[in-house]
Amino acid sequence: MGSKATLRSTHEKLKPMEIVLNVFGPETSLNQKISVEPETDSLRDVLRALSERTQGPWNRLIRPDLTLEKGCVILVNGRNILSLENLETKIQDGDEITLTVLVTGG
Amino acid sequence: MKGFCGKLLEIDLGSSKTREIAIEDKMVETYLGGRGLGARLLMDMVPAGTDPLSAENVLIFLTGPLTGTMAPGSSKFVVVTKSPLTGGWCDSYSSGRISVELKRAGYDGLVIRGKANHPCYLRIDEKGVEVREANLIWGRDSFETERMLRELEGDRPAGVSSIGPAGEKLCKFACINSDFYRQAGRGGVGAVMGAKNLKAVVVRGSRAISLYDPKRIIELNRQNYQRAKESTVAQARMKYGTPLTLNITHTGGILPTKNFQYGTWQKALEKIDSVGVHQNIVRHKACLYCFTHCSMIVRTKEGRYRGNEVEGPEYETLGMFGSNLLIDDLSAVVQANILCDKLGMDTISAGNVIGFVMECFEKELISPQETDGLEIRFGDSEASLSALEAMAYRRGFGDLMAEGVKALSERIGKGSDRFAMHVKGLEFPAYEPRGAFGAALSYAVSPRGACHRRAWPPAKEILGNYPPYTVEGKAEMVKGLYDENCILHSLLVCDMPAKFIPLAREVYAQYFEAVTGQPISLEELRLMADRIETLIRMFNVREGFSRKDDKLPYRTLNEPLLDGPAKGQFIGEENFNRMLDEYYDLRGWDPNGIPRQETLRKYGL
Repeated sequence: MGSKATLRSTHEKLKPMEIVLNVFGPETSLNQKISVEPETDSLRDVLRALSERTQGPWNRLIRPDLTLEKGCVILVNGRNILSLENLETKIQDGDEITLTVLVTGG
Repeated sequence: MKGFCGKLLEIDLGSSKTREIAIEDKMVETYLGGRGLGARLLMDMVPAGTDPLSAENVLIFLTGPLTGTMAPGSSKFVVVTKSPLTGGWCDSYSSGRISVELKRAGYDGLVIRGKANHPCYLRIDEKGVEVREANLIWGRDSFETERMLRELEGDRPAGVSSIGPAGEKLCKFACINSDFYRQAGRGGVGAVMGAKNLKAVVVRGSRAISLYDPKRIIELNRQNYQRAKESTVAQARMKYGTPLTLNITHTGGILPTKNFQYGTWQKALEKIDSVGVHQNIVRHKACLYCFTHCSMIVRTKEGRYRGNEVEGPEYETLGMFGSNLLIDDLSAVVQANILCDKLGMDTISAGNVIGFVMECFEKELISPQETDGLEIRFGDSEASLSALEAMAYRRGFGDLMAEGVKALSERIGKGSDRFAMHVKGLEFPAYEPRGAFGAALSYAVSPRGACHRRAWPPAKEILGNYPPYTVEGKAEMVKGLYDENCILHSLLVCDMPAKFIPLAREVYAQYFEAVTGQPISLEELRLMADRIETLIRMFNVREGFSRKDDKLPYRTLNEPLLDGPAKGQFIGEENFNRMLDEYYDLRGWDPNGIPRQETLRKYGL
């Protein structure tokens, strides 16, 4: 069985999707709508597709190998991916992905 | 012990008698300083059942072991008293030169008893204290008061803390202002000061603060400054300040909107958030003796009140006067901030009270006939600003609003208590607990009422790995955050560098040793935190508090949140009771929230 077969099948079905990207770091950008064509619908592949597609403030928070800079986290639709499925979190068209530093203070 | 002066200055305003109270090393070893020392003192000095606005209440200004030592965030002080808003424990924190000047004058703190028979202010230096007439400054706002008192001091810097008209008029959420834009904001400490007829405290000292190993402190600062420079988090935080928090609370769905009905507000974005505020920053600023410039001066370029200038606005003000009131004009929020600072009111409580009144109008529970013509609707900045003046001077309906949201909802009745957002009488700060269940517990068990500084709501459930809409593990999470902050607030350093550089407790233990010469272990610090939190609980128990007071508004417990990632969420009675049970158990308190005898013995209480 394979995961390969599953992946290929997902890939074949997957259409381009538009995600909404927020970056809260030393440079901040809000509500950036970006169209990506990931291999699968996992956050990992969406981020990969994103990094191939565009440069931006988010590159300061995430490294090319998709590891995060110290003190940075990723939220999907307002939820930290550590309380979801981490990089395997499924992404749908229109989802909001937020890369942020560990903001603090009120 | 090095770092400490070893004594407090006590003055009775009724008799003008002063005395020095020795602070023995044993006291520091048991309670550390700041919050911890304040807990011991308040318990011992205030008789049970004391009216907070009577002469019998005490107002205590305290520093901590690291105050004035050049450790990051070390120009803080805490005001400890019995709160007129809650009738219980109150600790209210502020930056301010007065903290350092008190130590330079030879005192670790100031205890104010009694009530003066006419308006006065205190002038303190190493020679002692003078009680001076305040006729010329009574009635003036905090900015004018501070300016006049600084002029009297000439060129040399002095610490000045004062109240505005709200404190004089005993507005229950009046604050104490320092260095113009810094406030001990929460719990009505300014009203306690006003009730004593005390307009201001001016302190100027010239002694060096004794340090055990100054070279080691410089070395630690060098290391930690380097960490700050390399920290992505610190860079972001110093650039944007606390308005960055609004983007996270909006994203996470815990931004209070329309009196805590909603958890997000799109209209806030690029207007009253990090982006909107950043466009108006004139310069960045650091507090005295801190190497992180995380504050900022803002002058608005657009909007109805454009051109106004403030140090801030901080996130709480943006949340409580912005999204919570549906006001997206930054200049109006800044104007509210300035007015609160000048009049001497807590922006959190003031914004919360106005939001409540707006909802009462929307639900037609009140009409202008019942509010002396004051009509405040969501989004109406002009009426909100008028309401601030009415509250501070207790004019018309403002007189009732100045009692706080709990008393106001009791007076209005008609089920309005369901959306009166407070715990124990202290108004909610700018975080919606239905999108972070731990915040619900944290607000409920806080001894001073709904407090964001003991367990910062987004820390673990929005930014950390705790699932936000469950109660599993939340009691332990909240206790951990409480204890961590208890140590910072007893060492009396600012939370901010600790969180955004970040600096672990080990680093503060290193500073403590360099300052005092006494090594301190993390285990000792943990034990102190447990002891201090239980002692504060005992203070409230003595005043009649128990589980029945650790409660939440109906809205939080039972009404589904209307939008955002947490749409449909509410805490629920069963969930809430489970969190309370688990929290009490972890603390060694019984199911009614009363510390058990063995717990008191364990902590030597």
